[in-house]
Amino acid sequence: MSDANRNGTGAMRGAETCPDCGERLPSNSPAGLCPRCLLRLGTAFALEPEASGSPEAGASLFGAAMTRVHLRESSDDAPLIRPTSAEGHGRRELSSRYQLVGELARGGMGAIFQGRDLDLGRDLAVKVMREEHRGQAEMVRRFVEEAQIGGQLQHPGIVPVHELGRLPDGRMFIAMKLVRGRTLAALLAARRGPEEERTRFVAVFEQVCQTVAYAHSKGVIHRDLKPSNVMVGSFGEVQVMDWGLAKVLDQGGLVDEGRSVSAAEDASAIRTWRDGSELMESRPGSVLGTPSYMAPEQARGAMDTLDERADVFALGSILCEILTGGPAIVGATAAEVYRMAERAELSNAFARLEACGADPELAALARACLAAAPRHRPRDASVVVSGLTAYLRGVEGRLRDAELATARAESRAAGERRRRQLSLALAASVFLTGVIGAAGWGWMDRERRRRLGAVEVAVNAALADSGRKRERAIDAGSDPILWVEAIEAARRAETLLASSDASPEEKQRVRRFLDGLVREREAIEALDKDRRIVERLASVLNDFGVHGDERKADSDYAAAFRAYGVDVDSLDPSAAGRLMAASPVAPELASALDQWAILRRGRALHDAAGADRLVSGARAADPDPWRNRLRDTVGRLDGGPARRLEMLERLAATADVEHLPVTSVTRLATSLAIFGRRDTAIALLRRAQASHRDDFWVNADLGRELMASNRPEEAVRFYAVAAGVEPQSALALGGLGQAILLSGQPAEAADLFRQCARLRPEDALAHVSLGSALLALGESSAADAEFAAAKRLKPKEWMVHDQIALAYSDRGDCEAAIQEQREAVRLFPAMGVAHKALAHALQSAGRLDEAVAEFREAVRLDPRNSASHLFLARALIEAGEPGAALEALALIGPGRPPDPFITPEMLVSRAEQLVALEPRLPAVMNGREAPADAEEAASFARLAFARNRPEAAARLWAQAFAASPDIETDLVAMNRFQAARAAVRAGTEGAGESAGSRADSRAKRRRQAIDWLRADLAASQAALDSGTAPQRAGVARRLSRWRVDPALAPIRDEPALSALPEAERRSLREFWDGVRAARSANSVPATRRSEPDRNF
Amino acid sequence: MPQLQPEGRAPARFPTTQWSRVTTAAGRDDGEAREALSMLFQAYWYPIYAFVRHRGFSPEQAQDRTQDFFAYVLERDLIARADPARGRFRAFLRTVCARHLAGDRDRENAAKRGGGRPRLAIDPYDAERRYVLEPAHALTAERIFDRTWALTLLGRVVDRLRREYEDAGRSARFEELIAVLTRDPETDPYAEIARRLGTTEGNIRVAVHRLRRRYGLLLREEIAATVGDAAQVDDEIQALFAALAG
Repeated sequence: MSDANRNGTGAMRGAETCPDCGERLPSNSPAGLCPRCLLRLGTAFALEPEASGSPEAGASLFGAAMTRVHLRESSDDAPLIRPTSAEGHGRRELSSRYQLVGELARGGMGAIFQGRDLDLGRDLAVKVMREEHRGQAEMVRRFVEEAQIGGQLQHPGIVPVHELGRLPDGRMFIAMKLVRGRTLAALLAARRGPEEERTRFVAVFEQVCQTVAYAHSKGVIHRDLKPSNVMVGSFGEVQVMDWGLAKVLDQGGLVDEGRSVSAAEDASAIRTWRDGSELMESRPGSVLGTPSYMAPEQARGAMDTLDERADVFALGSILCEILTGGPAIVGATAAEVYRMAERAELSNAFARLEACGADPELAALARACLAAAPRHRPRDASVVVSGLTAYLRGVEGRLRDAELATARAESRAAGERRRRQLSLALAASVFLTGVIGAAGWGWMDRERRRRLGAVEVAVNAALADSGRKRERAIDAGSDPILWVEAIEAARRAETLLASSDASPEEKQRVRRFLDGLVREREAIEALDKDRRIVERLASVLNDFGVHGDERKADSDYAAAFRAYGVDVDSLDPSAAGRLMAASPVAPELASALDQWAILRRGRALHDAAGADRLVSGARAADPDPWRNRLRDTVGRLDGGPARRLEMLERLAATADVEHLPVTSVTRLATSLAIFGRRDTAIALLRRAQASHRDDFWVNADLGRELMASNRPEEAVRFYAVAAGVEPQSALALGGLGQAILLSGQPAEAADLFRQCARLRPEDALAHVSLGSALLALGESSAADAEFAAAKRLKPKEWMVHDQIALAYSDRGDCEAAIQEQREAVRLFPAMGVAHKALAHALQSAGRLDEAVAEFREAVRLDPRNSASHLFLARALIEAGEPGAALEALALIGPGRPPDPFITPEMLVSRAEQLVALEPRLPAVMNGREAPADAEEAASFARLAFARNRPEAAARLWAQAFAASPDIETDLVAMNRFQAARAAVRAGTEGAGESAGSRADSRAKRRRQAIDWLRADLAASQAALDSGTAPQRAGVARRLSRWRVDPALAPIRDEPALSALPEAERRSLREFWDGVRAARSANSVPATRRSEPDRNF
Repeated sequence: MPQLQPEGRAPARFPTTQWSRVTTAAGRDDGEAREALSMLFQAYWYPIYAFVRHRGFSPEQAQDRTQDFFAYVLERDLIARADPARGRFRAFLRTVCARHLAGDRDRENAAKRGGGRPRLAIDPYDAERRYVLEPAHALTAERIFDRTWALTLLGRVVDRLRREYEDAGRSARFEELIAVLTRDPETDPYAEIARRLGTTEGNIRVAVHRLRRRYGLLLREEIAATVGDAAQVDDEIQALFAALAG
């Protein structure tokens, strides 16, 4: 540095203050010049264009050097676009776009009005700064900062800021989303005590933490978190409000650096703001003016050096209030609270947390957040979120474990009870006790014992061994090997004795023991044989429910009875009946015959004589009068199906469930279910289960009916009991496995299916089920191996292919499902149901024309199958051919309903509606006529789309949605999705429909399509987050259609995407990534019919 | 996932700044980037020194820690975490410095002296002399950092300016003119200076104007070297201005 000394008039060396700006001169300033003036000089030159060419020369709305807020970037998003001052801040007059409707709140800082955005037609909130603050640079700056922070933070939990501008009178305003709901403070005040609805509040708290964590990740801290700043909507959505005190942390952030006021002024500005913000809260239940949530360092006034941990403290205080009823610092006056906060007096809070009776993890989390020293608290809100998530996951896991444990306990208890019963029953009939054991030989006199010596020992051993094996055999149920071993051991004893010198009495006793064993085994085996036939007959019915092929069911039944030894069709009915009457399971056999008879009377088999034969056999086998009355009711034809149903219902209502034999009740329930009254059947079975807790069939039937009604979670319990009673029953294990799989626990399901496969190695379907569970676990190569094994086991079995295809479509893999079904059709080209199954798969992927063709083929091959006609009609309706649909529906005869959810009547009325609308369609499409209401608009839209007029369709859908939000939000009818398909087509087809359609109107349609899809995705996400398992599965299945539907290809698949402008392409790719993420986050496989597909 | 071009890569008004070169480093071994960083450090080591001294370390310790810190930043690939569109060298350095030193009180790196580690050229006497002149009142270490940064920066600009005039053989003129660099033109004794330098008042006015222009350019260049792009220079000036308050 030059040492030139200067004493001239211009010299400043040695002077204390700068003559120009009056500031003190630092003693080490360059060249003795005033550094501030030096900097000012630099600025001045910025405004001269030739000096630096800087672009910010133009005066911006808010002053020459407006602060610009830059938030920290996180690694997973693209850099934010910086607002430059040239970008239309407040260029638009308020009056041209927004209309203030009324005042919502008023306070020291300003007022909040409700406003309406005339451009977009939505309500919003408009925060306006007060007149007197207009000149105060600091307040203005805070106002602007609040807007900029709100505008740049994008999170569902942060109120979106739409615009920052100036009113015509000069006041500044912020336009933001209008939030409706109640504050957390109000909700907390409204509860009776801290125990009430704790879970709900913790869930709200979790969302608050997630929102704050997002802000922290952007380098923003809120500094004023409290329950009155948290809004809770009616669905539990949470918004953190009032970022007016937020600060952008210094990692390149500007906010604090541009400050030209001293710290003291800043503090008072903050206090003004804070007081203002509190006065604005005229909502009931809010806490006015107490800093009960403030971190100690904040209370001490160190606003400058706060970081995320100040917010963490506030979160801890909120959690404390949720758990104990009061925030961390509680005092009589605001001043007292301030004092306590400054001094970090938290012992009271900790004591309350200790005593509140909440889960220890939650209390510990609160305590950690409330640590007096910032360095002891969690570093930022995301750490708090992790703590919460871990806690909540633990809780959910514990709940689910508790449920499973209950089911297991019940099934174990059931198993034990059964075993005890069996033992008692057997013991009563067989002479056993008192024969064995060393004590039993005590009567032999010493001498003979000396003689018999070694033999005695051997015989004892053999008998003891036999006894033990017998115990194990009884325990294991029906394992024949153990019985054989037990008997062998007893025979060994006999042989030893025979060759010895034992007395005839001794030999006699052993002989009797052996005979007893053999009889026992035979009895058990007989029981087993009976159990096996009943189970087999039940699976015939189960399988029929899946494949729907009456002929196959017919031959399955015949085969089963033949295996049992009763060839029903060749024997005389009374002879067959007598044979069956002798069995302990005669009533069940008779029930099966009844079911079989119903099938034979159906249109496909049309075998009345055969049916009669079966029913006579049933009567002969089962003479129970009540059941015969039931039999009569089911078999009657006069009065028609309605009358029959009525009588069945009456029987159900009057049945004395507690005293009737269980079989009767299950018989009645099954009849009701077959004729479509599943709910009554379930109610009946429940009553029966209450009286006969351990009856295998009640539980298994109840499980089956619940599964068929899409209530797998409830079915789990009953299948578990059934499996407990009969651990070897493939029916129970398989049912339990399916129920557990559909409840979202694929790992446990896989274990069960493995057991099934072990039990019945010839059962190909067990492998398919296992494969399905493996698919749900994401192990697709293991799943493929199981599918291949199943196909190897039963290459000629169509159901194997069908089940595999369904497993794929359950996971949303439409392509694989279609492929598998095509393979099945190739193998079984003459099988109507195969074509029908392929058609379903095609329709689920959106390939409607191909689906219609396959349905037609199914009808051609099997004209008696009502279901084929029904679904052909449904597809034709979707394809816009209601007339053809009516023709198909006319071919469905009376009889069993072909589908539990979709009835011919529903489809007929729908088709007729459409037929009535058809003549008006051209006029409506051209806009000359208007639809009468929203439903009509929707129907016209569908017709228009089917007639290849996507532009008209999109327009009509928009009309329908505008008129009726319910139509728009009906996820199951997929209206919005269909609308999006139309919009995509309208937005990407080359030649427009009307002459002169332009590129930007196409772009508008594309945007509309994306908006609709996004809305659907959000709604689906909500359902995925909080629906039941079948609901989630339905949503997931619908979402997987999005990825393969040909109508969406122009905005999804690669070659077409490149034709779109880059920005659009990018946002589309993001969107599809979001869809993929939503799909993969869901691990519950769909059921066959999760929800009725009403898309017609 | 397609990315928007971060603004730091957009063509700047000035040629690629040193800081933007650092932040667009391909990786830790990017030689050019390391060199750019070294140059920046060599220019602005003093604020770090002052910061450390203010924390209570002795001059020797402060030197060591400054060297450590330099090596630490170079070696730890922290550069990769800086973002051109957002951060500036000063803010980045201060933050990293604070964090590094905050957790570092007990670590004695005296053992790791020399031997292949990159070193800054720090003149211990210069360092202490400057530090002694720092105001003694209670600013936070961060404020010290920013303040000394501002002063360092201004000092460098003035030095550059002086060297330019010296190279052109006009040191005498420089010394006269620099005294009035920031003065209000109305009150300045241009006549007096003109007499001393043997020229007309009019010439002096023009000369002063030229000096100011040159100064402004150099100042903005110097600042631009430490920020991501030219558009941020004004903001940085505001920040430095605030740092000099009080």
